[in-house]
Amino acid sequence: MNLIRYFLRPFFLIIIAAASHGIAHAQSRSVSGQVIDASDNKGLPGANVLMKGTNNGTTTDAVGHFKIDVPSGAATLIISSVGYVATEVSIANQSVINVTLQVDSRSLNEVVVVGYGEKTTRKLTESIGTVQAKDITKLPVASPEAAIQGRISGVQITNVDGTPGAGAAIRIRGISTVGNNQPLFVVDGVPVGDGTGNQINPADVESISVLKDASSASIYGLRAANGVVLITTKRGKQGKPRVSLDAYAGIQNFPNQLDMLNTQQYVAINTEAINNANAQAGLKPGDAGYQVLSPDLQPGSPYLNIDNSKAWRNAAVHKNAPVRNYNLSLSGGNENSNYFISAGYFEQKAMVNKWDLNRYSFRINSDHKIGSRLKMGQALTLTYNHTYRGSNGLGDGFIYASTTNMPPIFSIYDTDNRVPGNRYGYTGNLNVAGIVRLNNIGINAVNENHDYAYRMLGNIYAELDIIDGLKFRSVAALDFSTSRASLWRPGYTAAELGQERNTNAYSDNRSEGAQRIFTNTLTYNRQFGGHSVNVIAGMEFQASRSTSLGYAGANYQSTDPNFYQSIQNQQGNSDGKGGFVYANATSGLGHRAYASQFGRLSYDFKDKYLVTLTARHDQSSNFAPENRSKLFPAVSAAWRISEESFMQKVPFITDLKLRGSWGQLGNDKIGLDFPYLARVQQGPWYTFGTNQSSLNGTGIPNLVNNNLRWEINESTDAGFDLTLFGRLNLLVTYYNRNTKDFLYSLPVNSTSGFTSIPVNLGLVNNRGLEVEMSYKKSFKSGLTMDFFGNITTVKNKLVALAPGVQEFASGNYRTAVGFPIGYFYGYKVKGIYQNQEQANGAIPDVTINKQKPVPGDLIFEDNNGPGTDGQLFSGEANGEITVHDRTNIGKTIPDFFYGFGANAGWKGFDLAILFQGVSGNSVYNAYRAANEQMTGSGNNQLVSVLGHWTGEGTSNTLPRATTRDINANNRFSSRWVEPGGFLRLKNVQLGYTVPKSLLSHVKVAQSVRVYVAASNLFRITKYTGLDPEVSTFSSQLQAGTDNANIPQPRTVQIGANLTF
Amino acid sequence: MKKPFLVTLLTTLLVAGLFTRCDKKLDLAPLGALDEQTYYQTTDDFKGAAVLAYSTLLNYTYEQFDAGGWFKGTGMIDDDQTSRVNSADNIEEFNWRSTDGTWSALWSNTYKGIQRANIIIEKLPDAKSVPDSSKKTFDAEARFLRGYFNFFLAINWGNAPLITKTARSLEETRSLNSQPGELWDAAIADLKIAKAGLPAKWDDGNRGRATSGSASAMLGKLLLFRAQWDKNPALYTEAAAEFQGLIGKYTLVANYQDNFTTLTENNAESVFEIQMGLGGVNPWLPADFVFSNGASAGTSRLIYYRAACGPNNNCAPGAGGTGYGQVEATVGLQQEFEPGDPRRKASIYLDGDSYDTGTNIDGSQKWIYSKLWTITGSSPAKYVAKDNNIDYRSALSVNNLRTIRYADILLMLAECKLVGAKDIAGAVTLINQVRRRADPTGKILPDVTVGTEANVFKALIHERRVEFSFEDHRYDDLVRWHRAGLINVKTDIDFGRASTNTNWAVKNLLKPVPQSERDLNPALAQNEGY
Repeated sequence: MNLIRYFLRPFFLIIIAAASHGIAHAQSRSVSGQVIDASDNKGLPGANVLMKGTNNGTTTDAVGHFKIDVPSGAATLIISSVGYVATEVSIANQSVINVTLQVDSRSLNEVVVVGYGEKTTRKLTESIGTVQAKDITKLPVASPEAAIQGRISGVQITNVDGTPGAGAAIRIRGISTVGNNQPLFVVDGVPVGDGTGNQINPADVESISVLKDASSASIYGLRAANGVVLITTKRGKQGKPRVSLDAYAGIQNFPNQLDMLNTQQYVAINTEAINNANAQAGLKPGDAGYQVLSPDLQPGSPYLNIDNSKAWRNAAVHKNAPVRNYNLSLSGGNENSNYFISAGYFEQKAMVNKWDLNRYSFRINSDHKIGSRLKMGQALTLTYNHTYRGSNGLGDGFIYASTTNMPPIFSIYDTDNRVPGNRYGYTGNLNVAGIVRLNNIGINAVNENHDYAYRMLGNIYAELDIIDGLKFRSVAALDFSTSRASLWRPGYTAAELGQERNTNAYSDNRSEGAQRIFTNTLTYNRQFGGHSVNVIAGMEFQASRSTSLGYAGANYQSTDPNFYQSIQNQQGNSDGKGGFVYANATSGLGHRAYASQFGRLSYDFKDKYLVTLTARHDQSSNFAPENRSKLFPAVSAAWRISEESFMQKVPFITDLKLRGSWGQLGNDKIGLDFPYLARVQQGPWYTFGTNQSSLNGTGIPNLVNNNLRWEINESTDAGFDLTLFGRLNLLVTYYNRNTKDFLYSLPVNSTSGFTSIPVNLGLVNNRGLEVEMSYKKSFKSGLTMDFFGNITTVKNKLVALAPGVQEFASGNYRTAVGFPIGYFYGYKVKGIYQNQEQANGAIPDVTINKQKPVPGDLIFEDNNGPGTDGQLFSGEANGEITVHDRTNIGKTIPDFFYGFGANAGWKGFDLAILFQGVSGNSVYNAYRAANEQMTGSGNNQLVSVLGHWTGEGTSNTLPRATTRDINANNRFSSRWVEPGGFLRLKNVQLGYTVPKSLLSHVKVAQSVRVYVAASNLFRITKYTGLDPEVSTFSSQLQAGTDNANIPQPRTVQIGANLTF
Repeated sequence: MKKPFLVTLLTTLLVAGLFTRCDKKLDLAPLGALDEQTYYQTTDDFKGAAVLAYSTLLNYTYEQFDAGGWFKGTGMIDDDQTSRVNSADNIEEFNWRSTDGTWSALWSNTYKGIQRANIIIEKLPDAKSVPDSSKKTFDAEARFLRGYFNFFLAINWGNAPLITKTARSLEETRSLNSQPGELWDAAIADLKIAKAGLPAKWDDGNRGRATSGSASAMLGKLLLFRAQWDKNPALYTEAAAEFQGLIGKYTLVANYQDNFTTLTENNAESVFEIQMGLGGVNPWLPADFVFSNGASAGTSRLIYYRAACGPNNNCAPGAGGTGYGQVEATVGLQQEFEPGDPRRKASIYLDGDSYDTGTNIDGSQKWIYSKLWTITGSSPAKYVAKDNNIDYRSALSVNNLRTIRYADILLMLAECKLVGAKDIAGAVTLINQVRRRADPTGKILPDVTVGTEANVFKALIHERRVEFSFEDHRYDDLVRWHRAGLINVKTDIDFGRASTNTNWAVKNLLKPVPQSERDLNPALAQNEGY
């Protein structure tokens, strides 16, 4: 009846305390007792027993016993031990005092994985955020990194979108570069790139450490500037073989839908747009240019009886899309060997039709002692991913966007056989109202895409104790992956699907990559007196090679996709003018190598004064020999004030540590191979000769830069860790990061014949504060609760660019000195000209050739004139609207992001809640921009257009409808940029662990836990689209554009964890 | 015993592991790639470089690229073509803006071509295994193309930057406007070298490359334009000399339509054509959309020109699928043709014509053209009629774009004689030569008679319009005549739409410098009025 004892234990303590209350003593005497560890009910050795208010104390022996002399008048003992909640007990007149210590919620003895080693929290001088296994498996997602959203301060995780297996954009302490901002991922010591690519099963992960500051990350040198994410997988523990089965199943749904106009409203707004345009141009029926509504939209047309405004959307959406996961593991070991073996199956369908992700994964990890000094072990994972998709005109995953705005008079299916010889049953709605739109429902259905990915990631190590404290470790690792993507597109005609692609086409692209890593480290651990030293020195060599090969073929005789696997089956010839071979092979080949030496010295005195020095010397084959190597140094130090004797007088402070760090890091993720070499490529065609043979032209496609280097990030941080009353933890860190010489393919004037040049330029600064808090409390009733929260502020600023360059733009984004990276750059809307008088008073708009606006048009703000001498803007209004009046209308980087939640347990029930959010960023609602135009074109419009301007005072935000948008109301402006902040209930989970007493009857399972959970259940946001959480994977320059991306699914799941 | 052994082993391992220099393993180079240092040595290398420079011309004519670059920016703006699109079209209606993709497409592709020519000219002197005679030809060919591109810049943007060498650093990519006349001077110098260095004829394997005749014709055209832009009559004489040198070296083909069908490309009338071919993987992308994975080498002009649906939803066969109907013939152009002019049927479709295009080329279906398929009642037949190169790619046609043909030489020479030398009779002879080819009988198209200069000039304008419709010369002609004071576009030209006529202003004689260029280099001046 352990369970009952566990729940009753607090009562005993209360009784003891109550019984001992109020009795005084007169002289010194001896008190003895035992300190018990609450986690295993065994005696706790080395615990401190201190008489409150004195320096008089002792420690417990190997089984937790203590004996102490207490003077008369001494009232209270403080019992403490690192990693446990300190407890005070009243001495009263007792001679035997037994105390049970509860484990601290944030144990100072907790082991944290750091680069090439481990440290206890107590000894940390660095900023490292960690997430443990139990939290990683809470969300029904394909990758471990997507599961840790909201859990670590300083780490902003944004899902690229809600498609199965979509990447997660990870930004650690701001945006350090205009290029790739993804951190380096290291799985069991093997650097695997800038994400796990859904190929690491979250259930296999023991812990994730995020190295946030320069001191922790600098041991990864030139690849660590964006931080490092260390993923450690599970290993076996001593004990009997343990079989665990974890399974869950859930359904996913859209959190909200976008509503479009019905047929009647659609016709009305198109009519209005045409009437307005004719009136504005003074045109009468019969005049050249007089616009007429398509007869298909005029009264009496049979099309007006069709209203498919919802049918199109419904055909795209997959309601109750399933997500399932099964994970079986076997682990165990003895004092010489341990093992962990697992198999997992994960399946997720998208909330839109035809997108099915399946993953099969296997893992074997083991460690073995060979004799007394040698240890060997390995880790191996095999993964097979398969995604089955359709495809459509706007690109994969955008079927929702490409179908919701179909004209409501368009049909999906060819129900009345109007299309002769129709092969697929859909209709291209050809010649309906003169609108040409692809039937993406049909195209998505007939196209077959398969993406396959296979990965083998393994390592083997040997570790030798040379002398006490000195260890040599050698690790060899291989990361091998292959992938294959095939696309089968049967021919279709415009009548069938709205687009003429009437040839069966097939393509198959394959790639493989192998990465070898060889790491040798020597570590030395020594304690003498109060001094503790940990030294590591090592070298690492890494080489990778990748190849790809693919071909595309068409004009095959059969429509059986398997037929296309054989290239001989295609038809046609290569004579040029007649039929021809549409078979084109593509291939690629790349390689890269790194060589590094690194070292770290950690020293502390009595766990009180701590310092860590780190350096890595890195070389990369990707840069010119003279720019190839650099030393990346870092230092960090901490002072645990709470260990000072004077702090013992402040008993409510359990632990207080001040810490700070400085260091340099590099970033070589520039997406360019050998950017210092001008390469000559073959490509564009031209045709010579009487037999008209097409030849490939050869030339230099890109500008190169001989002096290119990686970017350097210089980071400083300072903060403190505080634990109060043993249960309230507070962590505060200020960070300041400067990225110098960031790598960027700077757009150049096309007068050069090129589009960009890679350069090292500029300086980006990121500053902010990270705060983490947690609080844990147990109640008499057996209720345990803990609360946690974190918040991170980001202030991002581009401080400098290259000499003579103040800014650069890419599309609707601009990056300029003095502003955050990649802000939205457009006109600011001030309102709407409500009447002719106001319109007459409009200042000239050069961008529309000074045409006069009419009532109902938007008023754009005049805030700049053209600048002089290299400056783009004058900064002052100049009485006319020009392109220079485009300005900062929103940033994609939030002011702050946060997560908070709670865990509670009571009599076998457990409840976990996690909220997560961002604030202060903007999102460009590109879908709204495309479907609120009211220009009478074919697309259906969002229902929001019903509130548009129709006369004085009707609207000050939505302009008039017109097919002749002379004022360019639809230009990129603040009209389309919305606040992107949100607060989301990311996850809530309620579990119940079946009491052991019940299980003992079953005699099969050791423990059974069942749970229900929900993800993304609700959110609070001002954003009007599907989901403000949109991002780009690596670069921030195009982040925050929402083309009606698939939102984060609202998932409800049930699951069970069984142990046998 | 065990311990010392292990220690020795480990020390050895460590020394080997930690202190072995890995530098050599880092000396990697791109795999399977050519680099600039070792390329540009052989004749084949330069042939590849020449192909690349020519290939730029395909980017120009790729109409689905960047808001329809060429066809919109050079064709649609004239008074012969109009778009069927119901809504306002800023390009066609002269609401030209510096942010229009049309202008940046034309601008950036022109400079891309200049870079591709420049690198040939720069690298040739150091090419060890290219014979001097070949060097001369390659140099001449590159200069022909560079001259072509610089002329295009001059007539479209005025004082656009003159780029004479490949940029090698960020600083070198920022260029300032050229001085007045600089672009013209550079193009003249290049075309003169090209004329001297290019062969008069290429062998069968190289047919389609620029010849000395191409260079001379380009030079003559440029001089004629400059005579009018700079109001410098002396240049008429120089231009005439170039054209005169070509007389007799080419002939007008008997069948006018042979100038616009695939099977009769590079014929006796052809002086320079942009060679369309089949190209690579994806026909929906322009030739060097992805440099190393080149796409279309043809033109989708066909699908662009073929009729679609009229205002009352009467649709041509293939509408929407193989015909987008983006171009129609204005009423003005329809009326310009003299009754019965055989060139009319080869140029535009009218109600009742047989619609001999694409899948109907074999006559399997008797499709009859209907005016109801369009708004103006007519759409282009030139480059469309009898073009059977519709295959599964649908959009792709390999029908060459005739950039300069002999009829143009004759009429430009006529213009030099008429306006420059005031040789009215000489001009009339040349105009009539062109009319006789269209109608050998002389009954439908009677001879133009010698009259006043003004009358003959009117006849010349008429002849150019009916001879060259949809060949992208018209707007350039209007601009140069306006600059020379021979016409006034504002009062003399009806573009076919009220708004278009209202909007045309003097600033439309030049195109706006793309805003994206000025964003990158604020020192680059914008043309007046934009």
